[in-house]
Amino acid sequence: MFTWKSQLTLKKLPISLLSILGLPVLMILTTQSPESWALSHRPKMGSASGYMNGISKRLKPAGLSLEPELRAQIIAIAFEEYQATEKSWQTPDGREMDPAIMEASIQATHARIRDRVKPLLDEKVFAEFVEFQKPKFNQQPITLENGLWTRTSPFYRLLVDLYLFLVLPMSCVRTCGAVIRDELENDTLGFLTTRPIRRATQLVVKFLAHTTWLQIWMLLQVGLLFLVGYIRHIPDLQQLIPVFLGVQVLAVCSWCALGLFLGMVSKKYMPLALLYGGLIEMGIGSIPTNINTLSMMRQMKALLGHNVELENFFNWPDISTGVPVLVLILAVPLFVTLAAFLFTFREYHHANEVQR
Amino acid sequence: MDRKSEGEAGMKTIIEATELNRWYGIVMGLNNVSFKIESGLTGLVGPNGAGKSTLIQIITGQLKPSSGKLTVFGESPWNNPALTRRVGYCPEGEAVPQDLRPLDWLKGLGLISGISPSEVVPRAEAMLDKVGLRREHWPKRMGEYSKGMKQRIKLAQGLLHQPELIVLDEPMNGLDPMGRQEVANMLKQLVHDGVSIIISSHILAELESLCSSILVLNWGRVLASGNQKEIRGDIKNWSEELSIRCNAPEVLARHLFDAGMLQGFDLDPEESILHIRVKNAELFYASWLGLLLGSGVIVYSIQSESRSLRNIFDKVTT
Repeated sequence: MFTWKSQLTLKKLPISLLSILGLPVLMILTTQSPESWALSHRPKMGSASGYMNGISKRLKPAGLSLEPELRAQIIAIAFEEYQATEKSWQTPDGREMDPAIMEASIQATHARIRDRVKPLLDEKVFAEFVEFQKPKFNQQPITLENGLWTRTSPFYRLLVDLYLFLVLPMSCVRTCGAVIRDELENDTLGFLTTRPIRRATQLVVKFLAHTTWLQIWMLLQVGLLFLVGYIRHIPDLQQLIPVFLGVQVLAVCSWCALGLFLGMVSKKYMPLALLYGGLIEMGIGSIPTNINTLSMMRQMKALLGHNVELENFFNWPDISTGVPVLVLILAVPLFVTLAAFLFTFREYHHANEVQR
Repeated sequence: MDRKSEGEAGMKTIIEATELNRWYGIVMGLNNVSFKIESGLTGLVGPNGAGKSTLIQIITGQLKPSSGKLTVFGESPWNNPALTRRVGYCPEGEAVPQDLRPLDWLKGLGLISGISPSEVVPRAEAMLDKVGLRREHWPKRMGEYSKGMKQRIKLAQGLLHQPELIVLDEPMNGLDPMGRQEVANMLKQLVHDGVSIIISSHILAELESLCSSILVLNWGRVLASGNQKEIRGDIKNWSEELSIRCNAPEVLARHLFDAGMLQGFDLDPEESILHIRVKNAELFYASWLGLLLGSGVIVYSIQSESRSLRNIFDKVTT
């Protein structure tokens, strides 16, 4: 109750808005709409002069060559045909054309080039030209989706790498690590520990209050991120949302429990969390044996891998951890029990908190 | 037997410490302390670092003894909710949750303390009224409160679950004289109702008028305990100290010195005050009128320092 009440103040509103809007704004700035992406990333046939260089290379081993004038003519033909084809790919709404149609137009382009070049070349050279052209008939245009950095890359990177694997864990650890530490720092813990209720019960109640608060807050945050995804026409968002939300609910509980435990271990729980992240999540989590089950991020990847879009995009290694949901759920009572044990048997007082 | 009749029936031991030690690393908080505190209003007196807050935190179950034993109502206070239900605590300092309103805070603490949801709001309101926090301040967040208002709200949370023992760490700090008087009256009423109170304060005059017994602490040790009369009785051979305001302090000092009465003196010429330490209080008081008349100076006022709690405190802590 105290958590909720003290969060809802006008004084905290600017910081809250900044924190919740920062990532969606970054996402909307970096993820382009299909229209603007299409304008800046048009599918291309390739370079006409590169085409000519390819022919020259093909002729050279056979002891053949082309006159400069002839070369210029072939380049001009290739350039004209490439341009005409690329122009035919531009749709009125900027969306990408069907790949099958594009493939057919590529084949037609090369056929037209061949027909126009044929009268210019002697038989021997033309035979080499036809051989050079053969693989070109199977050429793929440089399209929206077959580059290394696609239109949807910023969305997925920000959503998974930055939000789910960095912002969310840090927010959870910061919030739940501070459950007792902030009370100590403000010298208000005595008001709670002198109440007729077991320390362990108090800690669990505070943990539940903070975790529920974070679930709501993070739901709001991810809702905004998905709104950006919807505005930017991220494909198959409706399939991604339920999987992602399920993972987020589990992740918030697990990271909060970890944060609670680290907060009870040390005043410097944030550096400790970074150490944990480096050692367990990045280190042990990437060892290809069963020990990597200890990594909570690995379990989350295993769950997210059920979504085809994410699986294709991130190309995560085959993760067969068996029971990722169970592991994430079990992490919660484990860390909370350890934290409650520390809070019950260890002293926490203000003087120590402000001195160190 | 209800609390009131128990209180009237006589004193009983509520807190007992036996060879109690508390260390903070190599720093000593309490050093082999043994004492008993009886029901009623007990004052904890001592300078900063004397061990008052350490003792209070052990009594309220926030700290564990390093060795030895302390019991409250016969039980160890550490992690003992059954006992905590009988004890209220008002800590030192101004720390209260800044972003909460007093009624919200008290409601939360009340629910944690086991007060039923239907009862908690009227109880919280009654406590705020009792400590004199005016209703116009209730809608404000506690971060906006003055020091005195924070003291009142801290007092209210300590009284909320109607404990049998209330431990107050410097509760008068920040209160204006009228507020102090109000709180003092409230504490007296609580004691009258059978509630025991332990109060630490640097405002010794208030303790003197309030407390039935005193525990004097310094350097982590109990230097004296009991009621004020017993403490004075314990400490023999104290020299008497007087402050005399007159028209010629130097002349009076010479006169008393020649009469062989003084152990020492200090002059405050600006205020025309002579501070004297007499060798033999009994002899001095037998002849002091004659001595003053014989000096020929005009005396405006005489004040005995030794009769105040301040003096007792200074004596045992230096």
